Amino acid sequence: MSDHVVPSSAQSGPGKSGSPSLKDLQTDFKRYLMHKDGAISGHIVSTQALANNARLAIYSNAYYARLAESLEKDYVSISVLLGEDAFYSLSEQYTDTYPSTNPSLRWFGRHMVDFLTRTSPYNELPYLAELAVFEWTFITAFDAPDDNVATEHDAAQIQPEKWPNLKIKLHPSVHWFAYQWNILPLWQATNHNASDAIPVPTLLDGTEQCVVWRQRLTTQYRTLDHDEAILLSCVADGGDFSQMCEALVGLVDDPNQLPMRAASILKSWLVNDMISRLE
Amino acid sequence: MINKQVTDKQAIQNTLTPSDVDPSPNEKPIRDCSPGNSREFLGYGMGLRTDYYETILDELPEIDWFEVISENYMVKGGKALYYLDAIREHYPMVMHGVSLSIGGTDALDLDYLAQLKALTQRIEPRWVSDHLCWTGQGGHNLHDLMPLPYNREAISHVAQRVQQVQDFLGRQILLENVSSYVSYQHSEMSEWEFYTAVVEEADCLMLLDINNIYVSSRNHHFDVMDYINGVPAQRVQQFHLAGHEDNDDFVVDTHDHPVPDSVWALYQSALKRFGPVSTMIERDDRMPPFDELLGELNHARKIGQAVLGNAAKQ
Repeated sequence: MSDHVVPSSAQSGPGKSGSPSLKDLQTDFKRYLMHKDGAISGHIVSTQALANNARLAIYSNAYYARLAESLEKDYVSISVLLGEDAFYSLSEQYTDTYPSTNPSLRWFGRHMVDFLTRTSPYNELPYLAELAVFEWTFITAFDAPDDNVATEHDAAQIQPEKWPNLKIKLHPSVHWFAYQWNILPLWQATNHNASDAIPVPTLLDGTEQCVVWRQRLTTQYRTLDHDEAILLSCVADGGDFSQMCEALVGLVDDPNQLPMRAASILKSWLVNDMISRLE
Repeated sequence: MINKQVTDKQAIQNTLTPSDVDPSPNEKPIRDCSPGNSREFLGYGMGLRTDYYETILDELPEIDWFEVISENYMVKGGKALYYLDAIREHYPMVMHGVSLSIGGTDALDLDYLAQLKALTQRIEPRWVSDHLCWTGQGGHNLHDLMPLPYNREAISHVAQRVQQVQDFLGRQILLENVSSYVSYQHSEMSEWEFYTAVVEEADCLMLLDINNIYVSSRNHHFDVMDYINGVPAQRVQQFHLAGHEDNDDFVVDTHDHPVPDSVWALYQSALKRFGPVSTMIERDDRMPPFDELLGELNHARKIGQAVLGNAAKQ
């Protein structure tokens, strides 16, 4: 090798006969990155230009920075609310708690809701975990499987006698969740660089629900009315159109209007590309 | 800072002529580019990045091919696959992975390989590449291109795994040299000797990252021409050109700067040594306006034509 090797104790690793196996070397290197375990440094060459530990630090700095960058892209709202330094600290804790186990960074942030729910001081700010649910749901919808999109025209072709047993298959990108804090205005403000307009996190008067889905290539979201949320759960559980109507009992004043209300909600889903099939 | 570098680059672009490109005495002659040579020359390509999806489809720029990051398309649906398919209709593609961990000591990830193979069936790339490195250990992914020790154990280990991957994919793969910041006490040879031994033993091909050679030469104090002259020309299938961050004591492979003069110069030397090799600009961060990358690509094309004449025309 043409490195200008510096004779120092820092490079006095085992000789060739005592060379670590490839597996041991990689294990030591990983432990350095993840736990600051210094065993690897004895295996690294120092040069006049740069000592072994300075060389290793390039890798450890990059390790945390790269993963923090990935989390920041996934959780923009949380990073804006906490600020750069606090979010980097969160990212380091997260990375130590949930090191990546997937070849793709796409999945690295999947434990954020658990992390925020279980870890102090973040669990003292419950709107953070709710925002994490929202932002992860966005990611889930963004690259959810492609599927057919049913239309109003498809619905018009269905014979009247088949409506009671009609099964509605939601598009794979459709996901919804409940929340208790004002996370939608928080998300809007933090995702539009309007830091001076970020509202104070506030507990809502009651639980609300939000649906996220992909319409063509654009990820959409909107709040759900109470009865619409019930119908989404109904069709997700395999309920047919007659069961949708039954699910609305008590929510619509006139029982004769149950099919109309169910059909109206179904139409809005069709218009918004939220349905894959009517069977 | 970016503007300054782009200005410098454009100055070179405006002044470069064939007569500027004189062979230097320590460079081996251009390899045989006769019809009997099997290397496929795709011309001048670019890394496909999300920032430019719509521009590419709207303008169908004069780019000969695109390289896609394999992992970015290991998803079930949505925007990435839509644009991948749409752009594939207009351009040849090659696939470039970052997570194969061919030098790793965990078992090869069969699920990952299955996804990789499925992607090859979807876009039918001209070739598939990854890096000569390890990226994880003990079930953990480090998401970095970690360097290997240059010794016999690593050569045998990597070569055997490359053969497994090639058998699974049913095609030869390319391995790319990575930038590195450490060297191991237990290395027994130079990086280029190690790289050569791996590809010869595995019977795979080379993706030479010209920037990475430069970066590692600065970090480990070797002569870049020893590297260029030390690898087998017949196995070199593709070049990457990229930028880096120069910290004086060490250089970091950031891929977030324009290709600097030092890398352009080494690219010229590489062309003289290897002849026509499919070349692309690899930019991963601080993405500039698309035209800036096109300017860099045209500069590469101009150098190629200046060094190689008609042999470099795609």
